Amino acid sequence: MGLLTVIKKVKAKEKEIRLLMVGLDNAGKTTIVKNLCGEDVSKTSPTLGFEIKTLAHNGYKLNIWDVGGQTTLRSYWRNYYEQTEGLIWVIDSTDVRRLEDCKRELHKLLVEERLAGATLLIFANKQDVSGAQSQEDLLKALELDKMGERHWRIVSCSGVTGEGVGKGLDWVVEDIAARIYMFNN
Amino acid sequence: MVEDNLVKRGEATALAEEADARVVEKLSKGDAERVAQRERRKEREKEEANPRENVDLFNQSQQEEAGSIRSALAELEGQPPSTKDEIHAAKGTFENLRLRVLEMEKKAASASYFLSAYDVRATSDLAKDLKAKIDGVQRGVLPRKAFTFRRRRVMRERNAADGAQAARTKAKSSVQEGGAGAAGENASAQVAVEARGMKVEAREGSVVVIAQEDATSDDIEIAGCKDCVIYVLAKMAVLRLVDLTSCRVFCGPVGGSLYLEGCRDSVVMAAAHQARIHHAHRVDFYLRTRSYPIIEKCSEVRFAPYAFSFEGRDAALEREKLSEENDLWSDVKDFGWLKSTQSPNWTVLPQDQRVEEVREG
Ligand SMILES: Nc1nc2c(ncn2[C@@H]2O[C@H](COP(=O)(O)OP(=O)(O)O)[C@@H](O)[C@H]2O)c(=O)[nH]1
Ligand SMILES: [Mg+2]
Repeated sequence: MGLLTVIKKVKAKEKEIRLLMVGLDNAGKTTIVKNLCGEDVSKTSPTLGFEIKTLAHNGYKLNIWDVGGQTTLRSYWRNYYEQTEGLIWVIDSTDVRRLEDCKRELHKLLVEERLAGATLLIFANKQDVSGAQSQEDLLKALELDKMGERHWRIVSCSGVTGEGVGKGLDWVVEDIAARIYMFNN
Repeated sequence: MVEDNLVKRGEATALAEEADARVVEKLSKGDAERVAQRERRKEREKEEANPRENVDLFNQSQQEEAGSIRSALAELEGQPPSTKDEIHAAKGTFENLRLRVLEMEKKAASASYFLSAYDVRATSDLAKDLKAKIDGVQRGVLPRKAFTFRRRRVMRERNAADGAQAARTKAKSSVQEGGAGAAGENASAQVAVEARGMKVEAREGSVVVIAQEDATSDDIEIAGCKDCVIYVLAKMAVLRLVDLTSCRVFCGPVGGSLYLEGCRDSVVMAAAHQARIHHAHRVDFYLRTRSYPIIEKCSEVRFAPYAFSFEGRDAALEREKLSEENDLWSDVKDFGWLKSTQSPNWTVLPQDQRVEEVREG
């Protein structure tokens, strides 16, 4: 193996990005992942445990961890924090009833030391539904004013129509790449 | 491996060269003793926990319990209850027998670490068989459950509702339309956000019909109702059913998920891409879905295929990709029951206890 191949290999390996999809159950995490992978989103099963999807995106290899959000499964989330470069928090924008629960879980995540450096993308999902809250109102309700140094952004989307999904992913990948791989590019 | 041995041998030589012969002897003696001790302990453990013995004991106790349940059933069959009191007592006995089967299943679950797949299967078959027998005998000796509500009855309720149109309109104030008119308190107390979807809340003893022309959103939430009959016929992308007691809810197709949180002593019929059911107790679900239904923290919930009929149903089902009948309604996953045995929290609703098709209109 020549030196060049070695370098290439290391680079290829380094160009992996690990993303963690989290949020309450029923928010649309799996639907969004399936949409990104071009699969039939109308046949999405509720997630038992977790699933990992690998996706090539703008020259990066994304490992997307999609974990179940049921109350009985939330305590397992922390098993996935290690080496997570990007957090994608998905909100069901129609579910006002559980916004408080959503806010609490998100804030819990944000004080996790192992996730301190992770870029945060918030998807305000289900925007195709007429009852959906706007991302501005959601932001207000989630009280995300104490974010400190973290790179974060909220994007409206629909996992069903695909609107906004690509835009959000582009941003989170770019942000992580700029942070981690700036010497490679 | 070979390398490993070489290294060890090399170390041994070095040790022998350096060490006092007596130390070596002492060490090896200690070693021999430890080996002997280990052997003795192994022997003892084997005697104490012969796995086959445990399995036999377990199977024997399950068979004994099954036998005793069967003879209780035979007794009931031999002397069917006739007076009101006897019938009442017999109902209790049947419930008790079901609890005993449940207990057997629980024991099997906690013993599953030493049972083989074959044994696990055998015990679950045994339990299934017993449950079927209990159902069968109960059907035979107790008068049919007065449970079916057919078209005529539904029609009457409809008429009652139409007759009480005034009441319906009055109650409309609690059918809150999103945005503008809705009062602030319909949002959860801590979050200052108004629900924009359609909300039907806090109804008691009424009939609620949400037809397409009544719907103000494709996001519908029905919450905090008691003793109601509810028809949802409008096009929906999101449906949430929250805190319903003694209600009968009949829904057209949802082009997304049915999310249910808190429901007791009720009947729910719905077609949806997903059914996510939390905190339901004694509820019969008649479902058609595109993925397995899930339950979490539920008990005594039963499942059957979708049986709700209304005008334009086929086209509505087609539109939401729900026209295909499938068996997913019986492939329920219990999130709180991760063992290989059947979850004790749900069952398939026996055919003869299912409601016949319910029609609206
Ligand atoms: N209308 C609409 N429904 C959605 C959207 N995203 C997800 N859903 C539905 O919401 C339900 C839950 O989605 P799922 O991806 O399983 O949620 P998860 O628990 O977060 O993985 C499914 O029935 C989806 O069809 C969306 O953007 N719009
Ligand atoms: Mg999921």
